[in-house]
Order: sequence, then C-alpha cells, then structure tokens
Amino acid sequence: MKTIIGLVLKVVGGMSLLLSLPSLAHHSFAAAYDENRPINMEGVVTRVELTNPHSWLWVDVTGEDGTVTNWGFEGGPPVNLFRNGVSKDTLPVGSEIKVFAYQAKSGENKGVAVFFEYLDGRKIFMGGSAPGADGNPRPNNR
Amino acid sequence: MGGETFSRTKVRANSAILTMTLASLMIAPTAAQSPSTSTLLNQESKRTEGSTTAAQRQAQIEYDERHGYLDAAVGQSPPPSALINQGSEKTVETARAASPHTSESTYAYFQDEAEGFIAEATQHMWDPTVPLQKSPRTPWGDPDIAGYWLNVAYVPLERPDEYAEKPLHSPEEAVGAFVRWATRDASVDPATVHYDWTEFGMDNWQSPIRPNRRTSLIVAPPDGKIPALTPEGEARRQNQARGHTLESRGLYERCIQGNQGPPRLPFLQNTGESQIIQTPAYVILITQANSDVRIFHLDGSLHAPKAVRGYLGDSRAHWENDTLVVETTGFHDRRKWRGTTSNLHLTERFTRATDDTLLYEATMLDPTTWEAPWSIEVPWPMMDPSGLFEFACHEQNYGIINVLRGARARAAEYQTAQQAE
Repeated sequence: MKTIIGLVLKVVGGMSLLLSLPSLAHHSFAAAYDENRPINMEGVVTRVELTNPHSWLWVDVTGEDGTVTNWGFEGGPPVNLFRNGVSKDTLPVGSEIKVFAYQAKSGENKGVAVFFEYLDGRKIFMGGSAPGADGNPRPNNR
Repeated sequence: MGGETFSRTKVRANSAILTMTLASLMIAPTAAQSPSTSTLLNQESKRTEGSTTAAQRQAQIEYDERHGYLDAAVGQSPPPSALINQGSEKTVETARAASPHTSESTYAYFQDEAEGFIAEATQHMWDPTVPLQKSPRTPWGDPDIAGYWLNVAYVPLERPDEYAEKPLHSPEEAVGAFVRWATRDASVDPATVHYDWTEFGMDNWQSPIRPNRRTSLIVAPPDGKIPALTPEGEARRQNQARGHTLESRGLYERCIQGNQGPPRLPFLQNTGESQIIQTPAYVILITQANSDVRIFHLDGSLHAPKAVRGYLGDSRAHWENDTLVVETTGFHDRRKWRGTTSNLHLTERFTRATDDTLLYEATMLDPTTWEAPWSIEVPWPMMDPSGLFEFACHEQNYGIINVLRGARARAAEYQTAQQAE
C-alpha cells in the first residue's frame, strides 16, 4: 500500500478570522489533534475497538520503502453505529481501507479520522460491508 | 497532495441546497462575532496581567461558545497554546487541499437520506404556543413520563442578535432554519469537522430532532441571553481554564461525568440519549453518557445535609398537575459548570407534552454566579430506536492521554513562538 502523508507543519502567524470550527466531541480535538496535519492513508485493518465513547481502528500502513507502521485512528462513539446495525464483525481484520484524518499533536502514529472508506469509496459505517466478506462472524485479534 | 491517492469524484450537489447551506453558515449564531487569533492571544497575555477588558472577556466567551464548549466549558478559556493555528485560512486551505472530499461531494453522498429525513421532520414542528395535551397516566395515576428521550436541539442556547426582538419564528421561518441546519450538518467539510459525524450516525439530522419555533433555548430572561456573571462568578470562570494537567480538564473529558450539568443542555451532536424510569416513590433519569443516574425522591423527604455534596447534586421532586418538578441542590464545588458553585439551585420540570415529546425546562438560580436567574426550554423527542448502551469510558480512554500529550506539545510550541518574537 502506498502512503502519502500530507504534512504541513507551519505555525501559522496569520491573523485571519477564525472560521467555523468543529464542535467538540467527548475529548478535545483542539488539544489532542493537529489541524495542520491532515493525513491520507491506505492500509490493512489489524484491530477494531468499539467501546463507548470512542471507536478506534488500527491499521497497518506500508510506506514507500516497504516499512510497515501501525496507526491508530479515533472515530465516533459506537452507540450510534450499533443502532445502525454495525457490529464488531462489520469490518473484518484484514480489510483494506482508506482513512482521511488529522494526526495527533504529539506526533505519534495516531489520528482522529474524519472518515473511513473502502477502497471503492463506500463509507464503512454507512451500511457497506467489506468486499469479499461473507457476513459470518470472524475472530478479532484483540 | 494526499488527495491524489483517492479517485476524486466530483459531484455537483443541488444548487438550491448549496445556497441554503451557505445561507445557514451566514446565520450561524456567533459567526459574525469571531475574534481574531491575535485578539485572543493578546487577551490571554493581558489576562495574566489582570487587565482584561470587558470586551475581551466577551470575545473569549463568544470564542468558547463557537467552539462547542456549550456545556461545562462555556466561559472557560482554552489555554493560549490551544489557540495557535486554529481555524486560520491557511489551516482550512490545507485541510481542503488534502481531503479527497468537499462539502458538496459529502452532501451528495447523503443527500437522499437527508432530504427524506427533512421532509419527515418538518411535519412535526415544536410550537410552544400550542397548549399541551393532557398527560397519559401510569397505572397508579401519576403522569406518565417514562420512556426513552433524546436531548437534542438545533436552536442555539442564546438568542442571536438578529432575533433580539423575536423570540418565536413563524412556522415557515422555523422550517427554513431547520432545513438550513440539517443541510449544513449533512455537508461535511473536511476543514471543519472532527469526525464525519454522519458516517458515525450521530449527526442531529439522523435523530428524531424536529423544527422548533423558538429562536433560542433560553426563555428567561426575555432577551434570550445568559445574564451577566457577577465579579466572583467571572473570577471562577476564568480559574476554570483548561490546561495541560489532568486536573484542569473537564469532568466530562476525564470520564467522571457524562454530561457537564445538570442541568442538561443539548450537545452539538446526537449524544443526549436518556431513559426515565418511574415508580410511585422515585423517578430515575439515566443518561447514556457515562451511564449517569439521577434519582428524584418523591417521598417528601428533606434534602441531604449540606455536608453531602455530589457532582449530580441531591434531588427532591413532586408533581404539579401533569409536571414533575425537581429541585436539586448540594452540588459539589469541584464541578466546572459555568463558574457555578454549590450555591446553585436548579429547578427542572418534565412534562409529557405530546405522545412522543417530553418538555424539559430548567431554571438556574445562583446569585453568587449570575446577576439574575435564567431558564431554558427544550422539547425532547422520543428516541427511535430506543435503548441505551453501556459507556466504558475508562476502558479505552486513550483520549485523555492524547489530549494531555497534545496540550503539552501545543504549550511548548507556543513558548517557542513567543521566544522567537
């Protein structure tokens, strides 16, 4: 998988007006994540954690030099996913997905995901199932 | 840049909808009042010298409000380090360039669903001028308020200045405002979102939210605004700034409480699920967030002694006709709710307004914090589907670790920037 990371690490000294900003979720976006580090990634799901109030997807991302790095992405609360019929088996380990996220301010391999999609562009948590998934429960590697 | 990895699909959304989206951005309650980053940074440094002006304090409050600190943190100041970079044009440009999506393409993805929802919701407007129905009864004869209810609203807490003399929209205006809010909600701008809320099923338009004729949730005082803070309330509010130590973060963020109240103010997303269970002697309010439970004693007993303090306070309740009236005192001083203290006296009223609406009213009285009491009114639609899920906030609380590491990184960055000046 190819990784292209759009990193812009500039302290913006601009004095422009503040635009409409994201509303807060349970934990502060502003403190934890860096709005100047949007990242696009493709990778293979290694772990799915659906525990309120946040979901976390862990993804192995292969860099251009062949190095594999595990990234963690925070998503919204599973409660509403459960209501929409999503379960721990909706996204099997081994699925190939893409993520648009903002990297952790700390510089770690973590981010907050704006969205998760299958490679064909369907949104994972909007009723899509993994290509090739048979719908049967699979063991998670947690 | 990064967007190149994805197949970029340009979809033109309905132009009328887009116009509405833009219009809704224009009427965002505080959009026109945003202070600049420099104002806020200057304000922070001046504050430490003890010479903050009233205008600067107001700018800070408006900044906080706009950032979604609608509950506990309203009136609290983010640390200066958290203000760097946020929402600048450069940041917004960067995010939009990096994302494979635009507001328009995201709205196009959800458009059918969103339009179906809007068409349905606009059939069920909340109109406070319509007399309430006679409440259904429990088998033992009390008004029946049991069930699953959602604390949700598009209507802003405080009345926008443009509606200063207009507490109620006309029905047509109410529907128009609702359509703009819902459409904006479903148009996910990569530069302005934290999650794609819709993908996670938590946008308000995916809930049973309905249009509301009110222009603010605050119904008293009549101007629809929170009364001025007293000097000591103001001082407390400023001391509640969030920093980069664990103790400085909010109770919600630390998984101590699921909501920043009581009272319950709507959050910006569809996360206000609750259940009411009734017996002849108690009414129990369970909120999904953090699995918080409040018990309202109906047995005529006295409030707990003053030495007993709690984050949720101590509640005693009685029925007045069809309304459950709950008086709550005994709040813990460690709460961080708008500068209030254990002096807060909270009166909440729950009324079954229609078969599928519970009317929630709350009056906040704390003369040591505000110069006058104030009240809100929020219709809670019945949840659909119903049911609460367990919160296990500590089990997977990477969040607070990320917040603290990030806040420290920002603080260091801020210091470096200051030294360079």
